[in-house]
Amino acid sequence: MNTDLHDRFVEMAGPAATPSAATLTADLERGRRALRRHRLAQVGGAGLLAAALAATLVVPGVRTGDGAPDIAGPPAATATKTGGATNPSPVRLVAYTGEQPTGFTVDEVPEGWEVQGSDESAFMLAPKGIADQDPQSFVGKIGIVLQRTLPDVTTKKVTVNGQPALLATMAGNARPGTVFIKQPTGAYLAIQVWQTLNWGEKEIVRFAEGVHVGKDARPIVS
Amino acid sequence: MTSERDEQFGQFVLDRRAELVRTARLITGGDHHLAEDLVQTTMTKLYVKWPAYCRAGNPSGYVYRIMVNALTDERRRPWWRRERSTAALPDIAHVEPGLDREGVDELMTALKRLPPRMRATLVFRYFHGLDVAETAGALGCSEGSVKTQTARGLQRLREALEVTPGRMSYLPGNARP
Repeated sequence: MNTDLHDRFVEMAGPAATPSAATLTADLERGRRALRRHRLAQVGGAGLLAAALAATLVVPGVRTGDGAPDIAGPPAATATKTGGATNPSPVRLVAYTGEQPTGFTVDEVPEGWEVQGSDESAFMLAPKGIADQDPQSFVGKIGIVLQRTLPDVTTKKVTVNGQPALLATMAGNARPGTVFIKQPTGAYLAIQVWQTLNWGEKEIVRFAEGVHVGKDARPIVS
Repeated sequence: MTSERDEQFGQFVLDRRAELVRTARLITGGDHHLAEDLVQTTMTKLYVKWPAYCRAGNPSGYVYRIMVNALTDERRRPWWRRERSTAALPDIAHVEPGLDREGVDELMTALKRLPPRMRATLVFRYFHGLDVAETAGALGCSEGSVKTQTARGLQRLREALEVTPGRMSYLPGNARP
């Protein structure tokens, strides 16, 4: 190495300032948000939180399965109709008695599941004792997020608690696994179920009817 | 929510961020705003790829590669970002009293005129002291490409600075990488 040029570069690079606590926190938050996008996009090309983070981007109109332009029209299906899963696994939802996630409440969870982590925009449900204890990992879990917009994916109209909702098949997935429920604030509550759980429309909608957005919830910001 | 990843990443930020900022200042040609953006992008991508970073045979090279790729991506930003990026000039004399400010400015200007990957090549070789193989790993290119980029980069710096004889004495005496 040429010492003179190295010395010049050292001078030009300036001082090395120790990062502040605020900088550290900001780096961490940006990383977490990006990881949510990354992991859920891996799931189906555009996963739950990936969709949430698309909120800050230009999101084209949602394509619905019947050609309807948006979520506001009359539903084409209800929770009483079965969904597209060919082999839904037996799902036993039980009353959730643990600590409620930040910003949300959940009435029922699959038996033996728990809230693995939460913040004001999202929470993750996972089987108790699962090896993957990272609350930002979606594999084998159910992710819930509040987001501002919808992703550009094929959807089908359904009803959740009497409210119009969209059941979406995310890119790369074989069947619907995500439901988007419009909130009075205009935001969307998105619930995504890991595909190998083999939940059908009926199971997804029933579970979704037990998830509620609290006043402290905030749409995710990317 | 915290995780092992958070803890490890947090320690990385404390240990390495400052050095990455200095690297970014150089490979952005002295644009401190763009350098901070570049470091933020690098840190974000690194957090996502943390397991791969932990498995990497050359972790530092892995991070540098993220940074260089992010620098390339930076060029695809909207024009107003690029405009802002190029508007900032190096301003480090106040932190380095006694610095040859004129010489630093000239070298930084010359460095900035190089293509980004050529600039990064010189920074990795002469700031971080990476050898050809390490630089190739950091840039994701062949060793031959590193040698070529180094030789051409030094030559272009020499040509840019030769209008002021004496200010190029710190450059290697020949273009051999």
